[in-house]
Amino acid sequence: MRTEFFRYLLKSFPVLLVFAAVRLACGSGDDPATMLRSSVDEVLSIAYSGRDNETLPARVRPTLEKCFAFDLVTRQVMGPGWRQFSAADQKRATELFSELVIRTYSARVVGTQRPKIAYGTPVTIASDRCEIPSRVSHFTASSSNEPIAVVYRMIRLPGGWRIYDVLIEGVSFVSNYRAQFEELIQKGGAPLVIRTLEAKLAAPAASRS
Amino acid sequence: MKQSNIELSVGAFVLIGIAAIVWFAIQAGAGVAFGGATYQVNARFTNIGGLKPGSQVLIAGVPVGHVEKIDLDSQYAAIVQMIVNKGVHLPSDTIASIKTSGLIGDKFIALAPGADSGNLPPGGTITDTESALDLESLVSRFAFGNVSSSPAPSPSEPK
Repeated sequence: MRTEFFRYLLKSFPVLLVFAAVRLACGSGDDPATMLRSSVDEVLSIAYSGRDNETLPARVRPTLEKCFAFDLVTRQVMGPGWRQFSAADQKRATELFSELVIRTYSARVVGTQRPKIAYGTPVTIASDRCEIPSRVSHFTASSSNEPIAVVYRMIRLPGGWRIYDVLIEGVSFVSNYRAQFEELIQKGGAPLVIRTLEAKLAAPAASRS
Repeated sequence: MKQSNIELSVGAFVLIGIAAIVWFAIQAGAGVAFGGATYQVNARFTNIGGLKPGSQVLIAGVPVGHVEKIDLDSQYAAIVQMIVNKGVHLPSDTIASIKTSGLIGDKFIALAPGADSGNLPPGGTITDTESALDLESLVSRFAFGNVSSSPAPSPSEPK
């Protein structure tokens, strides 16, 4: 009786293995498009929940930290000068830059109606990277109804897929900031970068863009 | 005797001329003929605007190479093959952007080196790229934006 049971188990083993693999793939968010869609949906429902915009950065931070590779983004944004930063400077710069990005983009939430987003097919650009094109349509009276082209660049990290760059109308977020920080690093290195970021965060929200 | 002296000097002059032409050709080709002083990297762009083989590749405004070849891949994206001087090491998170010199000038590729400790190997691909900005579509966005059904914003309306 026991041997028969074992034989049955051995026979069904490959089937069980396939099931386990499928479950794992779905559970760990192995599909970048699904991961992106759910993160963007989550951020938008927080942003358009009707509450005041003052507390928005704090409310969207946990979700953004889950889907955005802030460590990698900060390192990329600082460019070759990043290697001159001490470990403490790198940590501080990452904290400040993440805060700046979250606050800057929270201030961009306009209107009361959620923008409509149409996603395109993901394009693999390297074995661990992909690009997901999308078109965002806003419904505010102050802007034209032309959809805006937004491309998300994603990388597979040990924790799953994360966003590491966003291209809006073809202009890269990382490239734009890299050009700005390059100048600061050449002028005054890590201390100037940290001082500038601190000053920017201390300034009133209106001038932070 | 005198005759052969003149012939000798003319021959020497011609030889010097040929040597000068060969030297100039190698210099103009950035040593590609020998393949030793350069290496090749690729980049994928969704739109290359008016980039042509021979266009310059710059870092911080300094020429470091040129565009060798442009192909179309199966997903209708442009694959640009660049030849870069061997002494220039490109971190693997380098960003390649297509820029225009002036408003309507020639297109070139600007490389912005990143912070990665690993460098791109010869024949490697730059994954982070910025395509040419389509000025016409941006202008048309502003020019024709308000023709759509949404009303024009009043001056008092908060943006």
